Amino acid sequence: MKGWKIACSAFFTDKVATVGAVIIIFAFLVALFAPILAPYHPNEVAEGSIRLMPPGTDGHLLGTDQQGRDILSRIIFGTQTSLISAVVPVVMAAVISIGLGIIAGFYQGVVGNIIMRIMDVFFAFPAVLLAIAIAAILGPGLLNVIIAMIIVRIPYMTRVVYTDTLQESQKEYIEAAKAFGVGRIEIMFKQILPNVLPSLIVYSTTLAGVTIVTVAGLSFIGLGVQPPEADWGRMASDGSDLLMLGHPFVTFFPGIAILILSFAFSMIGDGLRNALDPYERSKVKKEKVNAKKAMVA
Amino acid sequence: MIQAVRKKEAFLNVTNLMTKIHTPEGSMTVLDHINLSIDKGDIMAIVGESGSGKSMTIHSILQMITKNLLDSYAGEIEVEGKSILDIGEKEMQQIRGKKISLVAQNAMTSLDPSYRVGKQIIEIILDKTNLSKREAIEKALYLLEEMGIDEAKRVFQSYPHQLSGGLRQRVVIAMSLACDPDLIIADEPTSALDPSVQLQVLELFKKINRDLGTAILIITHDFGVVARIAESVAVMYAGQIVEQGKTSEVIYNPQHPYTNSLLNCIPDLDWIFLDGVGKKPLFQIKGEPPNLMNLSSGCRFANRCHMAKDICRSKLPELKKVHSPDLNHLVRCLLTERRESYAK
Amino acid sequence: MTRFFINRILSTIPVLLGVTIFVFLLIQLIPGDPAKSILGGDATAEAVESLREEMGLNESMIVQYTSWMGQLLQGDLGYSHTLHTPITEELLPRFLNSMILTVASLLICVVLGVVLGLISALRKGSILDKASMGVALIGASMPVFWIALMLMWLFSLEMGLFPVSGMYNMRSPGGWMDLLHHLILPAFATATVSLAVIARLTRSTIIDTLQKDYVKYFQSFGLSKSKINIVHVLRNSLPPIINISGMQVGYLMGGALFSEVVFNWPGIGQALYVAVTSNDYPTIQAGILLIAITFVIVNLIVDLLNVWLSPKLQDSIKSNAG
Repeated sequence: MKGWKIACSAFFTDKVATVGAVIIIFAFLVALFAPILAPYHPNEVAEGSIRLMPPGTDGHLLGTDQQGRDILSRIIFGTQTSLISAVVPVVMAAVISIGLGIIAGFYQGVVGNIIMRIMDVFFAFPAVLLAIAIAAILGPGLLNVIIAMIIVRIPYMTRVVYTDTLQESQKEYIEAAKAFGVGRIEIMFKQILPNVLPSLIVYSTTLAGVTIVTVAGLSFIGLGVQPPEADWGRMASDGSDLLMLGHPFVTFFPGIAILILSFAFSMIGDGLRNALDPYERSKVKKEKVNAKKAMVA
Repeated sequence: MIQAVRKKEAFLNVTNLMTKIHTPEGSMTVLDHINLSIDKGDIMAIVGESGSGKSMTIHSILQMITKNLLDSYAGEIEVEGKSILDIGEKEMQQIRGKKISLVAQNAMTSLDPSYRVGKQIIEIILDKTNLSKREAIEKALYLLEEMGIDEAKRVFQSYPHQLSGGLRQRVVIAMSLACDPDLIIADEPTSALDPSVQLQVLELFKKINRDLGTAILIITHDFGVVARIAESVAVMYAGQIVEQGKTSEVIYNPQHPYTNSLLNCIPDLDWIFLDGVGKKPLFQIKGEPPNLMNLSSGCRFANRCHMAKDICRSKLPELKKVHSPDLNHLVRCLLTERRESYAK
Repeated sequence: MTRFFINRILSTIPVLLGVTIFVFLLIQLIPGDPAKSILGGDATAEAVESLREEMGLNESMIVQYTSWMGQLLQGDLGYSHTLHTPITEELLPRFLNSMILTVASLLICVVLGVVLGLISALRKGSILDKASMGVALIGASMPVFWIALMLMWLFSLEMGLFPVSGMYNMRSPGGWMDLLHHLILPAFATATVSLAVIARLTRSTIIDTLQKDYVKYFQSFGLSKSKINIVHVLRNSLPPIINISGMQVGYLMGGALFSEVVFNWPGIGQALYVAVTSNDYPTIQAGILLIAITFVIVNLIVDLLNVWLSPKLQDSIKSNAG
């Protein structure tokens, strides 16, 4: 397990990645303890509150929305749906993609071809539009948005697993294992999977960040979480009419929340890429040394 | 320090050159008191293992060490009597290519894959000279023909990946001659080539030297190459010159143990002259060159030298003349010094 | 070479066929009766039945698909029961408007992205580099609709520099200057995310290319840095930049939907938004089909462009063919 230790220390020496990890852990805690942390009920108008109080008003740090609900409380509760809609689709899609990608990469020929040609069809659609189309057909609601996001992410992740599997299965130790009569299933899961996993984890983390942004977009269209449930994308889009009336903060704060969470995921993704890839890391180091040697030679 | 005796028409003079570069551990002296002198029409070689400072010497002469790597230069580099160490980048660009040009080490990767070979040669001609485009094309074709390329026009029209390694090497040599430089520096020009092509390329260098009068400085690790082409040679080890002199002198009367070891590394010296197959068993120099950040006070070769005495580990020898018909035969070895003084 | 081009063009046919099948099957995913969903809950049974008949929902799937395909090939995208118009008539002018927006944002993100990436790469490690790459990272994490709303608030509502909505001034529709004036904000809103992606990729590609032997070799001839950077570094960095830009066209078409909605741009995205909110399934179908076909064609062009730009690739194709 020494490799993990090295990866961990590499990850945490990366300041940017550490900041990202801290933000995500913080977000999970906020989501978990939302009822305790939030000063008000997210969907109800507190006594004495009026509509569209500006940020900094006594008792309403980020102000109130068009119905007089506390924006901070709604953002705190919105953390829950945002994290769910970021993590669940990506994890589900990853699990399905591992199966599809490894099978396609390992059984090249007919099976692999069919799987990858189907994926090609999905690549013809811009991801956001595909998600919108599927979610629109399935109808509004968080669950349908999650299903749509799973379908949209599968082709991208399958391709990552597929190319890694192809590379891995051409290596000598796999040939050797085959020659020794090790079962195919065993090779797939005991030999190939562990080698494919790191890059998929890196990719998933980055995709989680993108997914938050996409889901916010679906909420803007009116798909996804339905009112009065607190949801960042919905809050930001509900505030759009209020822009004209000079109340930008109703839109501004939820957008910033989306930005921070999504940014944190991509920071972790970047950090993981550098940390989980000892080969890449040593290659970078080696190249630096070689460059220096070349200059000295 | 000892200065090489100058001939007439000196072209390049390097005097007591010290180059320091930045490393994570601090400033490192990679070149230590280098003295070289190349006259017009000379063919000279610098020999050494990788890490000995050969390439650093060229990069210092052309001042091409990356800004954030370079710490400082000291000493003097003169081209045609004029110091170039403190001239500006603009003036230096007039020297690069026009006065001194480089023959790329790896012809495979040193040509731009996106342009035809001819276009790359005339790009340099047009940039550095006042020739018209038509004259530039003519000149490029002439140079390619001079390089012994039969189908110069076809090569001119080809992309780099369409040419064989030998042809590419010739193209790179032609490129280095694009602006009629007085000196071309070739860094390991043959190490990436097949043995048969190696010989052709070396012959080509000789021809260039003979026909165009271009001085040539060859950087190599292979004494075989030196013996074939160079009139004089400098042997480098760990950032210092340890022996220099006329090629025949250095090869047949090597004074430094390191030179000796390098000579033993070629299969058989006769191979070079008889084109035969080597018979002697290959010799390897044991151990690693010293870390330049962490040098002892003694001779830098001492830990690998099979003749090393106690004094070698405590006192750094200086580059001194040896008793030899060649007045410029210099050696940096305490043992040779001692032997010489006994002989007297 | 021609054979390669023809083969590559033909290779899009199975993908396009797959796209139509998928888009066709989308309707089958509708929970319950599509006709009922379109007409709403309070429609009479007869009305639903007659719409089922009209849409061919009572036929077998294969019959439905072939007749739908037949119509498609004649340029008929179907009929919108919500708007009561043929979809082709409704979407085609909108498609052109969307293309104006997409091309404008493509220009913005490619030009600015490459310039930003180039400067960052050449001044690697400088404050400028760190700042622009930081901004690029943040830019990639923002929802397009939110960028659009914020740009609208800042530049239209607060500063009054640009119009809030539409393509032309309603009262006195001007020429292309008027169009440009209306175009700038939605185009920038659409371009931001892709701009960030292109800038980051350009930076890393240029840094890689700067390390190449041939760049150093040309430097050894005393050619000026700026000349080498343009002639050799930029030229050899083009293929990956073009690749990513082609991929960005998809994101731009997706992002355009949001800016169209925010800025009331009469494009295909806005029509899709209306269709989604009114359960107008045939329009959704037609809209994403049009966009997918466009995207497939863009990818084809990018591929061919890359072959055209790489002499090495051309030769390997030639030798494979021969």
